[in-house]
Amino acid sequence: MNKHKDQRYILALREGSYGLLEELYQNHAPQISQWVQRNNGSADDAQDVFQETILALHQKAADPTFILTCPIGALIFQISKNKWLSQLRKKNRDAEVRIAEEERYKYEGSILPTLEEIEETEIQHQKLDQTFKQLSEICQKLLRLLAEGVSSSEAATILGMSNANTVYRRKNACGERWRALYLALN
Amino acid sequence: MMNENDYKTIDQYLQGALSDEQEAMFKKRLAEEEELAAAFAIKQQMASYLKAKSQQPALEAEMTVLGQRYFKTSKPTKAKLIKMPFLRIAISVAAALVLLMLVWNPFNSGDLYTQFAEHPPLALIEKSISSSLIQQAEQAYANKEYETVYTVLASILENNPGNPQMKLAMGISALELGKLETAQQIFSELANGTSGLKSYGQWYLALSYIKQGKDEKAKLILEKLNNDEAALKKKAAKLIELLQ
Repeated sequence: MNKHKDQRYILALREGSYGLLEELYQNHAPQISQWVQRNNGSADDAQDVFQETILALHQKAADPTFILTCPIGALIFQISKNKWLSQLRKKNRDAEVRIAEEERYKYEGSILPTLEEIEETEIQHQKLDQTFKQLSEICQKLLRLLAEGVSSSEAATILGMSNANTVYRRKNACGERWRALYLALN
Repeated sequence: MMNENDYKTIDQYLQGALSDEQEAMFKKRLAEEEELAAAFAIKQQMASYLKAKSQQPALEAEMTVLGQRYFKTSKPTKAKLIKMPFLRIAISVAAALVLLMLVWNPFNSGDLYTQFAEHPPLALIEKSISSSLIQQAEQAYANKEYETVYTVLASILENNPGNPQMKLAMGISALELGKLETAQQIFSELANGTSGLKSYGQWYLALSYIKQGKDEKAKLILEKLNNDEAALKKKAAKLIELLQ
């Protein structure tokens, strides 16, 4: 599958540089807003759904192996649509939905594999979240610090551990605990 | 069978610390050894999760601003108020920026920046430089026209050593414009120097880390803040508390 030119949005999300984010809002917020409002939602609902969609894309973007192979607009539309539909289902209002597809979002190729990938990552993310919170305070702090790019020796200072080696061993222990909790959930 | 070395190798691979040869060998093993591949997949997911989580506050803050701009809501936007033990943010209907308290507690810092980024008035004086340029920068700073401040000061400081006030004003402008690397360079210089604005350098360096979601780094600096500026020290104490 070939990398789509919209991969640049994924890269921007991955790097945490949100300059391109406004483009996504500019180009796609109006259509999503319209669709949600035509399907029993408010502008507020549309804003929430759009935000959740971007978050889902951001989570997927954090996977360094992920490559976008379809137009991002089509993907955004499908994700938003699915999220809104599942919300309506919860409120039993999906019978009133007109699943009129936005003409400009009809995409020739298959988006389905990407959609499934993203959904899978969302579920993984939730489980990792849940189990992370079960770790000790110091484990959470340690893993967070190291993920922020702080060096092991810096982390040792911040957390009052003897040295970088201690940090490394503690990190492994915390990681193992987290892994065990996570696997137990599956 | 997996051994301790395997876990170490996985870590090194994820950090890009393997040589080309080692990396090629590792990838081959991933394709052949199921257990290794499974352990690797989980580690990869955890790394991605932590990365996304650390970026989340800044992303959510950005989305709040953009949401206001691109979704016309008929009533004042409801903020998702999450129960935080110490802070409840009031929503200002007229405000362009809505302050949201974010769900994820430990990484919560996206809107803390906005709360604490109240910039001090700065008088920019430099004998050797044309007063009209300085006046322009000063005026722009007072009007929060950070693009102008940045451009004017950058050009002045290119050919002049300038003074700490100018550097701080330029750093603040860079920070407001999102030019974080430049901002941090300037603030570090001030923080490590001996000028009267040393504490401000430290304070703003911490704020810039908060903007990036690097709470722990920010806390480290705030805790070491010099005692000479009582007002800053007080703000720092408050911020440290909020970062717990």
